[in-house]
Amino acid sequence: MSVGTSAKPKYKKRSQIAMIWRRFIKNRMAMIGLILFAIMLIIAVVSPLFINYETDVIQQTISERFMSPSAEHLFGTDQFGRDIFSRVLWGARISMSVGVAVVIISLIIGSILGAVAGFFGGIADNIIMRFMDILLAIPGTMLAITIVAALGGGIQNLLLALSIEQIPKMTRIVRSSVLTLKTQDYIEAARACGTTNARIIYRHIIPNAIGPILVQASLTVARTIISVASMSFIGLGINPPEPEWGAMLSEAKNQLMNYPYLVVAPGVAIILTVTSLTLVGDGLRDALDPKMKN
Amino acid sequence: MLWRTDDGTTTAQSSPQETQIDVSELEEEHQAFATGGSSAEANIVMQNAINMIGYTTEANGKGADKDTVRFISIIEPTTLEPGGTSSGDDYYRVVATNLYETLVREAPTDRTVLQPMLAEEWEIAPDGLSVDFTIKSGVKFHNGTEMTTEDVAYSLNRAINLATNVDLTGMMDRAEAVDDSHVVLYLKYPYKPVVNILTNPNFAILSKAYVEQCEADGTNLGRNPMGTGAYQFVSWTNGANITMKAFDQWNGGDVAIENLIFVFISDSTTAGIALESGDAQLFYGADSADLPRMIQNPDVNVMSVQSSGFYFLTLNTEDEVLSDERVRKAIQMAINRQEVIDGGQDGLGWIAPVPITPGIIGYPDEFVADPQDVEGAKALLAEAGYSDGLTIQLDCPEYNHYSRPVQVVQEQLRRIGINAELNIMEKGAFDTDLSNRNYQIAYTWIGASYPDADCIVYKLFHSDYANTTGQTNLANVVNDEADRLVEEARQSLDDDEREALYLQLCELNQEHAWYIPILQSTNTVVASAELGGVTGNSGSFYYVSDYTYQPES
Repeated sequence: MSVGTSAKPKYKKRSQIAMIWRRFIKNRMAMIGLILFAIMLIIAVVSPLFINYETDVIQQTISERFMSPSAEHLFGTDQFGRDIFSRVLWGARISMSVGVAVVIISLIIGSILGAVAGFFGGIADNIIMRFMDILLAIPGTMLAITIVAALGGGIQNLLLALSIEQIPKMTRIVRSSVLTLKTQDYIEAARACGTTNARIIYRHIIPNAIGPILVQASLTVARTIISVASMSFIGLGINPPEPEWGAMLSEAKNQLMNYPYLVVAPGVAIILTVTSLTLVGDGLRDALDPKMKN
Repeated sequence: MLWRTDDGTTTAQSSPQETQIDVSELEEEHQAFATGGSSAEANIVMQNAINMIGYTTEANGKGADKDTVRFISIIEPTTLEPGGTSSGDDYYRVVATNLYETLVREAPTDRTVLQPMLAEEWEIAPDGLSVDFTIKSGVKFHNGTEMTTEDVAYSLNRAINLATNVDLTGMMDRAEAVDDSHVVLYLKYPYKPVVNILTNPNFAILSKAYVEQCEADGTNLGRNPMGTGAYQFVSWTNGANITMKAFDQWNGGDVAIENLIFVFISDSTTAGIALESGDAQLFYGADSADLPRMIQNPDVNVMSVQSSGFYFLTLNTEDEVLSDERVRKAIQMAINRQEVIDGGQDGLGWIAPVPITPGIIGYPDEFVADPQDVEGAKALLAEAGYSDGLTIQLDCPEYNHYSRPVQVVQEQLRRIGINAELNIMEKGAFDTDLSNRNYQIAYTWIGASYPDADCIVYKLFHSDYANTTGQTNLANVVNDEADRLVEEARQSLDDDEREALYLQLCELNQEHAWYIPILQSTNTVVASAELGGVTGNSGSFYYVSDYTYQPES
């Protein structure tokens, strides 16, 4: 049984998605990534059901510092006697939500800018893309550090900094897709029918450009999670006591020689999440590539 | 209370090195490194690159040069100009101690005992209004010129007039060179510990001609320091190191260590490993988390004493929320100092109940701190109208020794319903905000520049220093009673009377909760076991000229 046959296509559009899905599930690595990511996502969503933020995640018990892993504390406790297991699980919420928020912000702004630049060309294209070139010329981490250093830490500024870092990349991808699409016959046809520019972009161009955007989005989430962790690691990210993985790593680093197990849980969490998203992104790219049809 | 002995000092001496290192083998390695590069230039570039990232190689480390000491400091000084930084800046002091000399110095083992340095002897006039210093003759500056009493008077007057020293120089009027060997320091009013103040490296003796020449041609004195110390300045690579070499005409005679290199490694664990592997011989500013491990290591000696200052919370009384004394009292009642020490300092530290460093002159032993009272604090907050909680900004500098303890404070505030948003800031930005009173609560540190309570409480409590940018009354305390107590205590010559006055002041502070002293940390230097003569001291005076390599056994 395959998904393709069970959802026998009535519209061409559905069959295309089904084809993509069929190609995707054939890719074993991509499926492993998807399952891993799904597990992480479920953990992030349901963790409040069995973890209490106030009493499990941030409450300190100074008398229980640096307890080794045990049944009560699966991954042990940290320097303030907080349960690392609860913190790592809760950390998934922070990393995922920041990652997804950055993608949504940069996707919206990047799509609009990229679509405008690609569709209208000329002076609009020049202004938007030269500005994006300026942003791209500054190394991403440096740009983010500068913004956070200027505006101060905290989650809003971090979101802003990481979104600004990602917008130019998103804009370029959307623009290049639009450039190849706008010369297609069906766009000419739509234009001949008197369709407005906004509708052409919204109805014809964006849906057809969605493939590369999706790939870019999934990779951006992965990259953002790394960025958040590295920013927190150097003390410019999310402020304590939030259990951000990078911040946990940074704290654990000071105790590395004494309690090496402290770095394991947050480190593995970052690796798993980022790897799973990268695998999904790669799988999507292969699945969306028409040349890979088999 | 680890490693604390009866006399208040803490040491963890270890047995001499047990494993012998094959020196010849290392020297071969040294040779191999030196000749390995394709050209001398490449070697220099490589060495610079190595220095840049804060690492040294085996070639420069253990067993290689017995005349070089590498001294790691966690924080790089901002300037080496005497008076260019605050009088309590320990990271300036650690470096400057070896470059400059002052008229008198503190004895390495007891801060309250003074030893001659550039002054051979001194005498306080019977009326207490002047001090007559007999200046050592034949002292040479690093540029070869001879130090005169003119230079001494110039340096003292310069220090007296500098804004950064305002907390130290309030009682000083002027200095005058009376003849070729005497300089008199005139005071505005009698002040008992005045000579102790002169041990501060901000009172280092400079060459008048050199400073004036620097001013004339725009040379930055802070980057081109020149004094009379045992070591003379060679170079400063930003973010990496400061190099010095022994001054051959030093008035103190010959020194065993020819080259002194300060290396700046901001990560304590990395720095500790560099020391343990023999890449460096001294390490100042170790993180409390790294100390237990290093104490176990027979190759290094950890020397910890009580530091000259204490960490405290300052509550900005000009702030809308914190102007309410009930809120401040509630915060004070929420704090459990032992928990902060255990959680934030790995148990290494002492409770500081009053805003005076324990152990210095004027410390009120009889003071009784109010115990932690979570329920009482909640009740007070409710009374002040914050029964639904309160959000407040809590600032601290970016270093671990601030940001870790402050997280315990944050948690303790959470327990009484205050959501303290932590702002971990770059040190410069933090200092600016504090100086502009642009903060609500800040966790910071103050040190006793000399071992007398006056040097701390006067600047924290006197209304002259309140509400002024750059001034030191951080909480903006404006209180007549506090003014009267610090003024009376400053001018009294009777230690018992002064202690009684300071006791009243500390009680007043607890009553109004302006400053909440938290803990006194350790002042720690870690030395390679090969290096002899190193002693811990709370004033952060580490004179490398006193040290020698232990003979190989």
